[in-house]
Amino acid sequence: MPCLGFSLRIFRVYVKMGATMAERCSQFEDPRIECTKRGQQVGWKKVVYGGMQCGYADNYMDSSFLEAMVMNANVVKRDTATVMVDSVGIASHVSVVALVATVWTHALNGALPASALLVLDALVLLLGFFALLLTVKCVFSVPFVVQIGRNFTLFVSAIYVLAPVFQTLTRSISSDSIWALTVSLLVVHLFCHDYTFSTSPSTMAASLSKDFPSKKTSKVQETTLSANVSMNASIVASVLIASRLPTHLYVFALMLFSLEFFLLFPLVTHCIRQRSVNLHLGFSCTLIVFTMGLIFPLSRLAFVLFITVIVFITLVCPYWLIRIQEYKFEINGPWDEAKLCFDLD
Amino acid sequence: MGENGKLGYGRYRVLMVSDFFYPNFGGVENHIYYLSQCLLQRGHKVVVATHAYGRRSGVRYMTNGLKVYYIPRLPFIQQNVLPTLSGSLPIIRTILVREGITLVHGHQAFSTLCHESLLHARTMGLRVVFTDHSLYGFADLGSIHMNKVLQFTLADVHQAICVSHTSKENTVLRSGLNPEKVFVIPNAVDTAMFRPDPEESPSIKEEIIIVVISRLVYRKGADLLVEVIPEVCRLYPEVRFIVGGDGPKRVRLEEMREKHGLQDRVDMLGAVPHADVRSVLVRGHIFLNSSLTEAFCIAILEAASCGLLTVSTRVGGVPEVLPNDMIVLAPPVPAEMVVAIGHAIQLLPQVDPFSMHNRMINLYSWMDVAKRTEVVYENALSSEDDDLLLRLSRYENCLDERLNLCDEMLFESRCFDCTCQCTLGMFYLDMYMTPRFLQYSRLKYQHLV
Repeated sequence: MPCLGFSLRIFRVYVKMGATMAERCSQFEDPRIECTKRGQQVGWKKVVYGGMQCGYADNYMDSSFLEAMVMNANVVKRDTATVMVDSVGIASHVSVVALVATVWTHALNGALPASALLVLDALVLLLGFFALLLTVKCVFSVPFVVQIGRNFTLFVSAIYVLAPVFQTLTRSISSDSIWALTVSLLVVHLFCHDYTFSTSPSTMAASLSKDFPSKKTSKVQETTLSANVSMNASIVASVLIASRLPTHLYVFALMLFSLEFFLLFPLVTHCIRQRSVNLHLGFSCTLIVFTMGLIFPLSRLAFVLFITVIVFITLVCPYWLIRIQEYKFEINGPWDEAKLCFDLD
Repeated sequence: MGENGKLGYGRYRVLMVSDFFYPNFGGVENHIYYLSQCLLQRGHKVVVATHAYGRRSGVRYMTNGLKVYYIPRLPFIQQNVLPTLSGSLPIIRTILVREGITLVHGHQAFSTLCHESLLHARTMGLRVVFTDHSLYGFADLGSIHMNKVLQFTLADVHQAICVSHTSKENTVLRSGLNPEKVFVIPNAVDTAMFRPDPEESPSIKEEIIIVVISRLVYRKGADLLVEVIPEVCRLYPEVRFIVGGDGPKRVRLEEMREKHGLQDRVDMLGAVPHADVRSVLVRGHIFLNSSLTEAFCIAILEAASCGLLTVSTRVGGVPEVLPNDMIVLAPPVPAEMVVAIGHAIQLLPQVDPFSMHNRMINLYSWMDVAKRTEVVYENALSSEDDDLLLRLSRYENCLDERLNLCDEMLFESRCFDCTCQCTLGMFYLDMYMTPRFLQYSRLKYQHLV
């Protein structure tokens, strides 16, 4: 019943609408004939008002049809060399992960005692610090160094205090599960890692942000989200592996080693890249070769796998990208949604 | 009954299909309703099919006996029914057979009911016309899929209609249809309903009122308004704004109003029912449209018909809609929009609402739209019919040379669907489904039988 009432109400509105319309539609002529009667033929215009245009049917196709269409306007032309050089950054990060995994394996096999691991930690730390010292142009003032020192002490002591907790964390879980979980976490880490930070020079990022200010915010948010996921995955993987070790000191040493590579190392590569591309290339290649040397005694299969991955990343993928470039087909025109040229926030 | 499926006196029997129809409100709904009314008045038979809206299910009659089938299927997203390809075949076929339909006219590219009905109608050997009401991009995932579906549907249609030339270019690019097959027939406005009322608005010497009526969403340029309104208020102290409409961006507009202390100069009305749009429009002098994409924009016509000067962004089909002296266009940049509004304020003393209204009567009428649509119907009915093999080969043409999985699935399901329908399906339906459906519908649509 309420349905009927509603339809009656609607009905009344439409009766009113229909009545007004009925007053104005006594004509029954064909619009094409009507048009020729109305007057002389004028040029076709790209407008839709004023009824059918004289002498032109509604499906008339003017020479200006699709005139405003632009093809491949925003496409960046890439060349193989640049893409290959850029891909070295990715390969170097993959080799960092492989390096850490090798050290983990050695530690779990007991081939690397805790004291040696601690010495290694200190060595890597010092090397990294010197690398920063040499590449970063800013002056190291006393308060700055004090601040770094304080942060670092906090960081190290936190790991040291938490080491006993880490050690017993996964006692009730089988080693197989831990390995499986660690491998998947490392894969997640590799997929989500923010490679732009360590590979691309900042000038390019700046020019990007100047051109697309409205896009900038969303892009930054996206990268921080995936970068955070990647960082957390790597830390959890380190904790899982460290929890398999026998002593607190061992756990501490391994955690420190992993975090140095996962958290601090990208900063070093970033600074090296900023300093010079050649330095970056040389450094990355050394790193990759060094990692290969470490993996080789461990397992032939892993060695072959590693080489395959590196070749795939640095040679096959760039070639592939250049090959599929020719299929790039981008259409723009007046029908596109307008982009706002200001920041939404 | 005469040749070519026309009635004896040269009239058509048309089924309009779309997921979008009253009680929903919008450009497509309006278009279908007014077009149907005018076609009815010109002596054709018109039936509308849409999906059920809430409890409105079954058959309803509107003004002048316009029969509307509200097919009992649930909408699942944005008023669209679940795409099933053949799920709607029995009921669509029953409607087509019962009403003696000769031509099916589908509306709107993202209406699944429309796509399905066109496929079934085609299989039954009926003539098929399709109207595209909106613009689509080419880059994002949604558009890529949508365009693929459209390609398959339009491979089947006899004629297509677009609402503006820009829309035609877009549709031709998206579907690869022969441009000769695509007609441009704009929307119109009911000028009798949208009349100026100078008593309602204050004199422009006292204050100038700018009206905005749109959904407050990103695509309608609500963010542009947030930048433009304070600047205009700062430059022109005599200007006041009336903003009608609701949406997720309303909060931003209200924030802007508070931040700049414009509570007494910017009136936020909230959602305005379509029946009240005129009463809001006649209170102002300038209509501001800030859309970022628009195939046609009926709102501009309604405002112009009420005698308002329009300021709009130069996007999509908007530049084609009105003569240059009735509209001020600007790129969708805040600074340019502010300049355009200033220009409109200068023009305002020369604008006479009634002469503008009278011009609109000559420029747009639904009867003209109906007459031009008739021409399209005539072309569709006189085009030669083709058999299943030709249809299948056309589907195959829709596939890229770089075949991907999604395409292939679409293609195979389409081919399977229409082949099955042609052979087994129709037989089965004739033998079994139709009597059963009629039985069901006797209970459901009692007033029908």
